[in-house]
Amino acid sequence: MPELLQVRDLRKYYWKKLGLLRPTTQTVHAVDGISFDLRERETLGLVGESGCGKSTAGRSVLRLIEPTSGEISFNGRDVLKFDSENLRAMRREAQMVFQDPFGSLNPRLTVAQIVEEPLVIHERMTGSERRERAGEMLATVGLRPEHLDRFPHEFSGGQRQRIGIARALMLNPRLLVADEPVSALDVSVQAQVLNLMGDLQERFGLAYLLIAHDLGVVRYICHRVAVMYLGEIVETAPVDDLIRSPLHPYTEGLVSAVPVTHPRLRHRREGLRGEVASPLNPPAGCRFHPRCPYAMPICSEQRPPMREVADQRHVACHLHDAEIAKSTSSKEFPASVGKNSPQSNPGAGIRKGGNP
Amino acid sequence: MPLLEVDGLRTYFRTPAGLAKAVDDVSLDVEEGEIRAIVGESGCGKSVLSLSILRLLPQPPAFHAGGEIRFGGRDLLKVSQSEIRHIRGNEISMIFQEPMSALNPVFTIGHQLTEVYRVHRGVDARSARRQAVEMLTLVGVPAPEARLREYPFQLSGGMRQRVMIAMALACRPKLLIADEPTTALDVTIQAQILDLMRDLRESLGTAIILITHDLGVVAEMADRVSVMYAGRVAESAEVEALFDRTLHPYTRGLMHAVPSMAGDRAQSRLTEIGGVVPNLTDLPEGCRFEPRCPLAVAYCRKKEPPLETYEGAHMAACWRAGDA
Ligand SMILES: Nc1ncnc2c1ncn2[C@@H]1O[C@H](COP(=O)(O)OP(=O)(O)OP(=O)(O)O)[C@@H](O)[C@H]1O
Ligand SMILES: Nc1ncnc2c1ncn2[C@@H]1O[C@H](COP(=O)(O)OP(=O)(O)OP(=O)(O)O)[C@@H](O)[C@H]1O
Ligand code: SF4
Ligand SMILES: [Mg+2]
Ligand SMILES: [Mg+2]
Repeated sequence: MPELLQVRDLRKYYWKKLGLLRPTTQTVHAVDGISFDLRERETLGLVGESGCGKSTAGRSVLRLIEPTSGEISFNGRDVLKFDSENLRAMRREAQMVFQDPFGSLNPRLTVAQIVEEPLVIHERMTGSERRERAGEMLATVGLRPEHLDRFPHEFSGGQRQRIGIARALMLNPRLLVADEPVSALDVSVQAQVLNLMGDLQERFGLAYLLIAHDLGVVRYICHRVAVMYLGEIVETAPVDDLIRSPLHPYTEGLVSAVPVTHPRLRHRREGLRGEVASPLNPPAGCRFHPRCPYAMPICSEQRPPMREVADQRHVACHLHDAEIAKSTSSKEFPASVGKNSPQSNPGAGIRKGGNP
Repeated sequence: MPLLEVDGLRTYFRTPAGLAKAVDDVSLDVEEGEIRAIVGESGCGKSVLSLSILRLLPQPPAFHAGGEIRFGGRDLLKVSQSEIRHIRGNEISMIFQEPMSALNPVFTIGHQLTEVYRVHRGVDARSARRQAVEMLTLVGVPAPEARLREYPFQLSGGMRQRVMIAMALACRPKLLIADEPTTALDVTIQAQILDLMRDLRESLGTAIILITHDLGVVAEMADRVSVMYAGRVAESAEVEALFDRTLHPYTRGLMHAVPSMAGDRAQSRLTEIGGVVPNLTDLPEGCRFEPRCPLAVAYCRKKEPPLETYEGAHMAACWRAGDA
């Protein structure tokens, strides 16, 4: 399928003033050179710990915030060169859904006003045409047209998330960037919204960039996943491969930290020690090396480049550099990952020369 | 005899919309050294239940509408103010979902932690400091001496939660109530904190009431578990029995609604529980789950099902308990 979105070496830095007497400016490397592709009708998950830059990446792609540098191509056109007119046109095709169903809807507007707003900006339509479209869209997301004249506070969390999705779909977009769309919802309601997102993808041919931290959600809804750590993407893979045989030691830690699904599967896990470092002062070399159980001397010196190590599998880790792996062959490659993938091994993907 | 017995507890709120029956005839017990999970969705009464045990709810609007809470031969709902204050922190302590709200932002970690030893244990400043360092070491805070000089905002979420656990365990309570202790944390940090709580249970023998909305945390931690729905216990069991076979359709619904990491990924749909939780001021007549229940029959609307015992210690409140 053709690429809908191509992101190359995207960066977003913030500058922060620290200190009162002799203020110094420090750079927050919120997103620091990420690249990924998204195909039509595809769902790409963006996962990683709090503060690793997922939301910043998602917003930069839509230019809801201005990236510091990089390239973004949407539908073959250079998004960073867009003037405000082009940007407005792009917003028809690429929309955002936010995490917080409570904070993201204006409490003083009726559902009709909220859902119709994109039409007011982008389309020449009469009031009654707009209302009809809005009523249809509410029905599409499982609400009823009579909800149009109510206010957001009259709805439950799941219903509010549906309103946000209805609004984002009003202009028939091809891409939705969804920032933790179900994180604030109870599981029973989360299931409703995830099913809805699946149905809508099928029906309208949507592509999703899904920002999430729950690997269960990601496994269920995503085709491919990009794992972020401290502003960088460290691994991309088809979702089942990623969970079955994570290649990057950080991904391995993330997967093995997920709680078991049955008490009989309990086990002592090695787990990731330490905490996320600060994007103010990212470690040299591989940013993960202070927490990495397999770190080698080179890891604190050289930043590992992203390599394609098997079909559709990319990883930025010195362990997966064939040369380095050879020279340190005495050293064991990362061992068992945990209950979800007892035989998996971060070296396995390449050593066996492909995906299981 | 169990360490704690909650028996027929009712905690209601007077609200402008009417009486909200947040905890409505809840019974459960906690054995010494046991991890007892309480799981349920938002608003089902988990926090109100735990705050009721320590009498920390504002009255009004809350009031106690029935039941007993027995702990060490006393009814916690009847003991004097000074006695409950003594029990809090010394015998039962609590950690909260948002660790920031429970730490005082204007005092250092050291001040707050040594204060616990001085007030509850009556030890001098030097010895309090030594014990504080020991406790921070026990809960895995690196460089504890340095941390004592820091303020809460200088710590990460995971470190703050460790400090909270250190404070809660300072007086070696018999029971720790942990209200969603890992909900605000990343999954890798959650795994560390859960490991820590398990280790402390082993080494100190502290019983833990673990409140969560995450069935994964239950599977990972609990000895026994109660599932709450709209202010009542829907099902209660040994943890393996519950994950082997659910008796209540709500529990079954929850289990199927979780997008799981295990098994074949059904490319198909997740099982939804239709509808939403009922309004606590306007509960349905019979079974509270009836409007959303796939098994409901006419009788379910007439009479509220009592919590009854089935196989072993497995209990459920459902007229069709165990029906597939
Ligand atoms: N406007 C801003 N000014 C300064 N720093 C910022 C700003 N926005 C974000 N940051 C910083 O950039 C980093 C990435 O933030 P971002 O919100 O993208 O993370 P995230 O991965 O979405 O995290 P979460 O899972 O908590 O939502 C963080 O360290 C954050 O503090
Ligand atoms: N001070 C109060 N006044 C009125 N109602 C209250 C008050 N505190 C709690 N409630 C109600 O009691 C019910 C149970 O609340 P509780 O906080 O115990 O839920 P919970 O299970 O802990 O949910 P969560 O998972 O969201 O923390 C809710 O419906 C809530 O609205
Ligand atoms: S009592 Fe009836 S309505 Fe309630 S859970 Fe059981 S079958 Fe469903
Ligand atoms: Mg975010
Ligand atoms: Mg609560």
